[in-house]
Amino acid sequence: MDFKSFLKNKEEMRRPLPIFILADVSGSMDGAKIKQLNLSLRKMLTQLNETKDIPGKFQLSVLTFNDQVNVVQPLADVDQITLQEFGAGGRTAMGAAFEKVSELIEDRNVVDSRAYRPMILLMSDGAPTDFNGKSVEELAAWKPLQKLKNGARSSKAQRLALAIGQDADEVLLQEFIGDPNVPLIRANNEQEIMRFFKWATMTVIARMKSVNPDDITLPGSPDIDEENI
Amino acid sequence: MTCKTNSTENYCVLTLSYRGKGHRTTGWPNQDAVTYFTSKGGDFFGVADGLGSCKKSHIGSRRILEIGAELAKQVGKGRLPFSSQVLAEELINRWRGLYPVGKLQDYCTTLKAVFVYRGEMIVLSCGDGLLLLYDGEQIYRMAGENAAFVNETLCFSPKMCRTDVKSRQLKCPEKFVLFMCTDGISLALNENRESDLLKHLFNNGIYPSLPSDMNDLIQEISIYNFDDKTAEVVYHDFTGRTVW
Repeated sequence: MDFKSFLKNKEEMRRPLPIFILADVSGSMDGAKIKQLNLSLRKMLTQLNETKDIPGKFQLSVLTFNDQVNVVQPLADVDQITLQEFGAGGRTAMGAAFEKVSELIEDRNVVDSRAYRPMILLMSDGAPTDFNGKSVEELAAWKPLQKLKNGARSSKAQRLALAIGQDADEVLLQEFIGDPNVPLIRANNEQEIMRFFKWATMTVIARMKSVNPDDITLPGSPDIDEENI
Repeated sequence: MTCKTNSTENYCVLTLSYRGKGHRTTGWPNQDAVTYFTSKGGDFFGVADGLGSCKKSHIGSRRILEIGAELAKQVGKGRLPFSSQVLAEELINRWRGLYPVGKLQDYCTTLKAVFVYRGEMIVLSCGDGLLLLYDGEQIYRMAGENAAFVNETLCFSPKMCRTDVKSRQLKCPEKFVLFMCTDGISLALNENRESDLLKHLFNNGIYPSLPSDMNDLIQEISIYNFDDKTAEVVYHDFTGRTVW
């Protein structure tokens, strides 16, 4: 008797590691920054697709936010994705993006219960326009962020963030990360945006290749010098 | 991998336990445990999966099975009533009594277990993994609850409550096959093929090449899953005999 016939097919046995991109595409991102964001995402997708000999599979979803949040790429296996280029314009509805990604992660029809803990990458060059608070306390109590950080499933996600330029709301991005051991990465030019994506890609690949991909502890200090990328 | 087959007066049993690549690489022990205990009184079969994040869960998984076997012994001696409520509560209370509360969180474990006594059977489940029972007509199934993600499951833990242990009392079939496994295996099994697996085991019992067949299954799963993997198959046939 071939007992392998009692197993799921090979594709079903490969546990997914979902990656959600939350990209600020407000007006201030227009020009070189949005161009670099598009390029970096493509390179990330290529690198994930080229990663072989892993027990699971990567899934990717891209959410952009300006006046509203848009799921420009629903969560799908990376080998099934053709990324659409997106432009910039409008305001910064970051709260709506937090709400949406929380809903997606909580939905078992979107993120399989067999999945490894998702990764959320947030990149922004400004402050949210759908948050009226001023103090750190108000920020900590901001419902969209609380929903993301306290959701039964979304709270388990690994959260990394990139502050682009001098106007990024670093306090908010730190609050989003919510872990003093995970650094907020800063980018002041296009090259540094690319480096962030390379670092995030290597982090998620390292997770997948590790003996415990659910361990979201970053392997040491994420030095993103060129030689380490 | 450890693999044992044994025949007692009443049962044929196969147990397998495989330390996953994750623990082999890091030097951690196999956190799964498997056991059976049979006597002229009560019988006990169980698999347990120590939670990966708990540093002594390899001990916790063994302890909960020892408690199960001890309870079966007590039932056999008439010191405990054969009741799903009583056995579930005894399991919880005795596990809680193993260590001080501060240390107990290092010993968390799941459990799939079956007690048999005088023609009655009690099946218990806490956390993920899979328990399948087949009597030739009906399949009885206990799987894990819907956790947030894999490896985040209900378990014997300091915060557990009575409702975390699901239990049911049944009339013990004259002939049955019992298949229990930890989530390292259950996550890879095709739910639509469970009945075929059970029918195969029901019709063939613990045949000589079953360990080899199970090993093939585990090796295939291990390509995609680095967890520990443990299973127990129990075959029982009293048809045509006066048993109890």
